[in-house]
Amino acid sequence: MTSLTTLRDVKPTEFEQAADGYHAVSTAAGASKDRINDQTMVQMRGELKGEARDAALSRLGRLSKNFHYAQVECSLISAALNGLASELRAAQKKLIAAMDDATGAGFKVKDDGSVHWETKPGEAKEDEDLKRKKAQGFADRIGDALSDAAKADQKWGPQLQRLKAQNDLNVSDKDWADVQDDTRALQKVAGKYLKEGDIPEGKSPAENAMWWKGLSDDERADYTALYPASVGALDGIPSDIRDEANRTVLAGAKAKYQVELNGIPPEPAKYHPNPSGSYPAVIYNESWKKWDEKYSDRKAHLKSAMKGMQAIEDRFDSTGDNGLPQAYLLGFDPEKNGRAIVANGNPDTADHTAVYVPGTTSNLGKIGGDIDRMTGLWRETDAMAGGKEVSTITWLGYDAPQSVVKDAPFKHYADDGAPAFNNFMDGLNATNTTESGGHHTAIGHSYGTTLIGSAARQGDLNADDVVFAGSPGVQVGEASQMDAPKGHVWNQEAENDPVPDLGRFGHGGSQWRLGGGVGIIPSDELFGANQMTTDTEGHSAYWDPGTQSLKNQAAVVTGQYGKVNLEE
Amino acid sequence: MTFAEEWAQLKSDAATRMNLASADGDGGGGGEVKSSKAAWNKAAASVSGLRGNLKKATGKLDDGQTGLGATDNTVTGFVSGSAQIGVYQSWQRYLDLVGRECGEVAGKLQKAGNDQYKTDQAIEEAFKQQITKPEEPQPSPRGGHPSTGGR
Repeated sequence: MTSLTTLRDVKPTEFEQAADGYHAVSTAAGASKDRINDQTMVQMRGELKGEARDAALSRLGRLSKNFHYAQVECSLISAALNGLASELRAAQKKLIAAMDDATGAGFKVKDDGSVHWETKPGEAKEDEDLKRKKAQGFADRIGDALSDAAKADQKWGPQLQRLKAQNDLNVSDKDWADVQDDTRALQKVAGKYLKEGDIPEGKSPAENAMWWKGLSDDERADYTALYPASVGALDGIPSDIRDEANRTVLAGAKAKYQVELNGIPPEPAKYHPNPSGSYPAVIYNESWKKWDEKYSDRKAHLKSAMKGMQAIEDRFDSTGDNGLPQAYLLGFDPEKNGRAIVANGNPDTADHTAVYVPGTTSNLGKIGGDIDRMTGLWRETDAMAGGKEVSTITWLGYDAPQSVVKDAPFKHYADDGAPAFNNFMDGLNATNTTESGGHHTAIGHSYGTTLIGSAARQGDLNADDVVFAGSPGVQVGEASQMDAPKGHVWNQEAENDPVPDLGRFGHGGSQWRLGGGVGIIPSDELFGANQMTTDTEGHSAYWDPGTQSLKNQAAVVTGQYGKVNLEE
Repeated sequence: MTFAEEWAQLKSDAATRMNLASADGDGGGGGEVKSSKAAWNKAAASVSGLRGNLKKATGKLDDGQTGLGATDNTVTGFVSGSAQIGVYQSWQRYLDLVGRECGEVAGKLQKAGNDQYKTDQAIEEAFKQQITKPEEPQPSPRGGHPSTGGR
């Protein structure tokens, strides 16, 4: 139980000042991590060679992990101290109000919380009873305040306790998994201070941006620390904030997955030699079957997601390679098919952005190839942009069909993902700080084009240019329905790409007028897209480096329409 | 001036010129060694700058503790208040460790930049050698693993 004097005299601001101290450490650690990753190591990779350099780099890499650990943990401590302070302040206010009221009514409150009154000689029994009743009321209010404080204290105390720093330089998977557990545990108790429910959900990016702007600096930092997954997913808030939040989620998830993988027992042999030595030569191993039922799917998922997470980290590490800009992780979720939104360069400051939606069979495990496509597009656009800033983004923000035969003919994958895409594009417009608000291009590949079409059909697609490559159909029958300005819908169909004609009757659009038809795809003249030339072969080569296919896309992305080669 | 002295002087002049050349970003073939020196030194400056920033931030952490001392009853009267003190001590210790590691790494980068290691292999070995060590944790009365300070 909290004593009256403790609650009366405690200074919640002192806990907030302590929180500020941790916040300062968190900020400095974050900046240090960025400087090591994006400057020091980049410079060393570029200017030095050999095993001496590699030994130094691995030491620096570890140092950067220590800074990341300090950044995340100290931001949690800061949030916990602010949460504690806010609850203690509320309890203290309640206590002081009760004490003031008691004193004002002529009662005396002693330090042990008891409420006293004086009986005048010859006072009537009713008056005496009334005083007793009033005193009881004040005593109860005081008791309530003390109990609020005690509850807050018992809630936050153990949480703080678990946020002690480690005492070595190895930030292991277990350490990161602990950080994630710490975050979850804090979320459970933080409700009175910062509710997760107060983070806007299902709102427009403009509303999200308003909410974010209305928060104090402390609240922003604490929301990011406590709810990194929710903040990281929020369209409309600054990209560097989302990036920090999602990198925290990524580090935690990767560690957790590794720990889980390590805990899966090795796969037993599927067959045994037949002990009788006769036919059949081998017999089925029952323990394999049990293992298979229990672990097989999960193990495959963990391994696939780990591969994707590694690919994202590899992209982080390649910042600086031939001028490649910093990467921004604008969305991330390792579960199920996964989510990953990875930008080359900061879209908030970019003059030109390109958002690429991958198609059938894309998932987190395969994100590496999709990231590479946008790295390639960044190089091509950067070379053409005449000093303007470009950001190229891989957007795996939907559940893509996982099988060409079983899933891809259905439109619900596109329809379910389209609103999220519209939100993301609106968010880019909300956060872009360039004078023009930025020039934004949506690029779809394969089923990704169907999603972009669905986004235009269902809502208002916020893109200045739209590029389709290998499209099986986009649900609408003509370019004018793509919401982009007239003449700003572009299409590519390479030699021997079978997808456009396969998809026509599943995803094609219609024109209900004279000369119209059904099953119209962007490759059809009737659709009205600008048909760009390709010099690549098949369905999957549109982003091969150095090709005309890619150069044409880059010309559109940088708004240099005169440089686009069109089909005769 | 003897011939040997003169020769030494010439060599050192040449080295200076090479240094200047590489500082201009024009290393050329023969300047590669010099430009790698510059690269090591740049990294050294960067990492020792980190240590400075960390010190400043730790200063703010210390300032933030004013009023939350272990002798203050309004602090230790709360479970959270006492916990906070333990948390603070653990972070002081950890941030000191990280700061010392920055110092060690920066020092070695600088040595590499000043040619104080004879071979590349010597540089590699230096970075593989770990001098910065955690402070011995205080034994905790409640047990717990020593690597987490008895947590």
